[in-house]
Amino acid sequence: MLDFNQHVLKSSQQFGAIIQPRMGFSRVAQMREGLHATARSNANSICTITLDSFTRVNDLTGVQRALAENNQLNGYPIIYHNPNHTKKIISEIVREYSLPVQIRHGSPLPSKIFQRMVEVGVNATEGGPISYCLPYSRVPLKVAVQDWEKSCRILSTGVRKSHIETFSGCMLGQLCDPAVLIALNIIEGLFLTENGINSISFSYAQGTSKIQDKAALTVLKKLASKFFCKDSYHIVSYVFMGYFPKTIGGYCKVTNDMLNLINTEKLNRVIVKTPVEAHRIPNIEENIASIEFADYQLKSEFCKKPIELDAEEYDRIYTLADKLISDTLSQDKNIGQAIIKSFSSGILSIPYCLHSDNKRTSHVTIDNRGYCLTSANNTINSSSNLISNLKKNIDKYDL
Amino acid sequence: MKKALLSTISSDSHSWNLVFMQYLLTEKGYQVRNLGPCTPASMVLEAVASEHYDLIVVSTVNGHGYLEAPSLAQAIRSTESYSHKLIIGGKISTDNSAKSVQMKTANLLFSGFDAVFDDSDSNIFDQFETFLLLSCDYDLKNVEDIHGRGRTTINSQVKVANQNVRF
Repeated sequence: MLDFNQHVLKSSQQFGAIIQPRMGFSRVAQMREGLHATARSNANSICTITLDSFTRVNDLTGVQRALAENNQLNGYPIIYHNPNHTKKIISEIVREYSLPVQIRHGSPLPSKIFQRMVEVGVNATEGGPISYCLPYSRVPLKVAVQDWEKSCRILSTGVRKSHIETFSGCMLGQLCDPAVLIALNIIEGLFLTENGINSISFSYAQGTSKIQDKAALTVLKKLASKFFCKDSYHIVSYVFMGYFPKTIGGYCKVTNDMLNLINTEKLNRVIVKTPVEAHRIPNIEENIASIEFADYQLKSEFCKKPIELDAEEYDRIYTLADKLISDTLSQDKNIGQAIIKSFSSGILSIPYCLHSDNKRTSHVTIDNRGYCLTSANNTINSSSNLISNLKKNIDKYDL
Repeated sequence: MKKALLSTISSDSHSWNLVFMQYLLTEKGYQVRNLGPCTPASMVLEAVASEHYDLIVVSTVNGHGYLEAPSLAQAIRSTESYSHKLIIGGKISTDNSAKSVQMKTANLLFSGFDAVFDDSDSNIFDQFETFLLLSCDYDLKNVEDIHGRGRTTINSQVKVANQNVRF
């Protein structure tokens, strides 16, 4: 089994950032085709299997009904398909291309999925007890923490070189202060490694200002090196995950801004979108076009332009993130308990997240520089105000 | 004050649509109960049974609406307690071609929804606002007068569908 983290670290150092699609199809044959197309593409890629949303919520009946009626799911139903078939398509990729495959799932209770990963021979996935519970589910945080502890045990004892990417740099995709995203990344990373996971990656989703993103990524690198050993982690970034530009030009521009950051900040991996993302699930051809486009752009002069560091914003993010981390860690020696206590006391809070274990003690505002900042007051408090803040990148890039 | 129940389907983990819709419905004069993401169908049915609602909005963007919402609508419509408006909106299918959306919209209407607002149609919010405007300015009897023929057809078809057709 390949070491996901080592592969990413080495390959990104040698060839530039690794580019990864979001890709998941209902049927084994099409998934296989998608994996091969990604591996063969003219990009420094690794492969992705994204699971469907019935599997994410453990609704196997939903999968069976949909497939029996020949309907299309929004991802690959890994629990439904014969594990030998999944194992075969994954081992082909490892054998023929020496490329790792990551399972992307979005499940607050992933133990069954992790068990299946062990059976089919995959050691890399993503998520965490916070990032896959609070924004995306109604499972109590306490229950998610327990299941993630169990899941980490299953994966770390079942495969060699287990790897999990924390998803907490992407909470709700937009309108979250980067300081909160970074604190949650470190906290979730500590949870995963303390529960036996061999290596991790930290995530960061593009915001509404390249300058603020640069400050945030600089803090993330600094804090990651404070809490984790060198070479035991890498950093992955996401092209904007919120309300996405609708035009092809908008897609190109928003992607280019992220790729610029990937180069200047020497990030190891990037997960890209496709121009159809705002409308529907992309097909194989569209996925491949987008990773090849990103690979090409990464080598362009535009994407190598230096970006200025806003030292004041760096200090603000560092101070707030560091405080959130130390306040959380002081709650309990057990990191899982520390997470539960911090959310129940409101030390940690995610703006606009509807989960009943999220106290909604924090609010944000976007200032005239496009910085997303924690705010004492809830200034985003009407449908028109919310939509205009969610649409910042549409207004900026869809010109 | 009119009451609206806001939900999604059980496999849909998105939130922003629900946060937005809560503000919008509140501004349109509704008292909103927001059930949050990944709403189990049973929770929607319990809510409908325990309290009066003038409007149920199912907001879904994960592309599984066409798979899960028909049975949800049938279940809501088969409870004696709910005879008011039931609508769905967002991205109802993984395939948003006009033909696919049209077919899936028809199926959703047939299952008991009064209106389907798929965002592949760029004017969909205007249509939604018109729908809400009608709902606010007229009482239910008048709305029934406006949509009278459609409603009768849909509801009577659903009763037949419940017995004979599996979606």
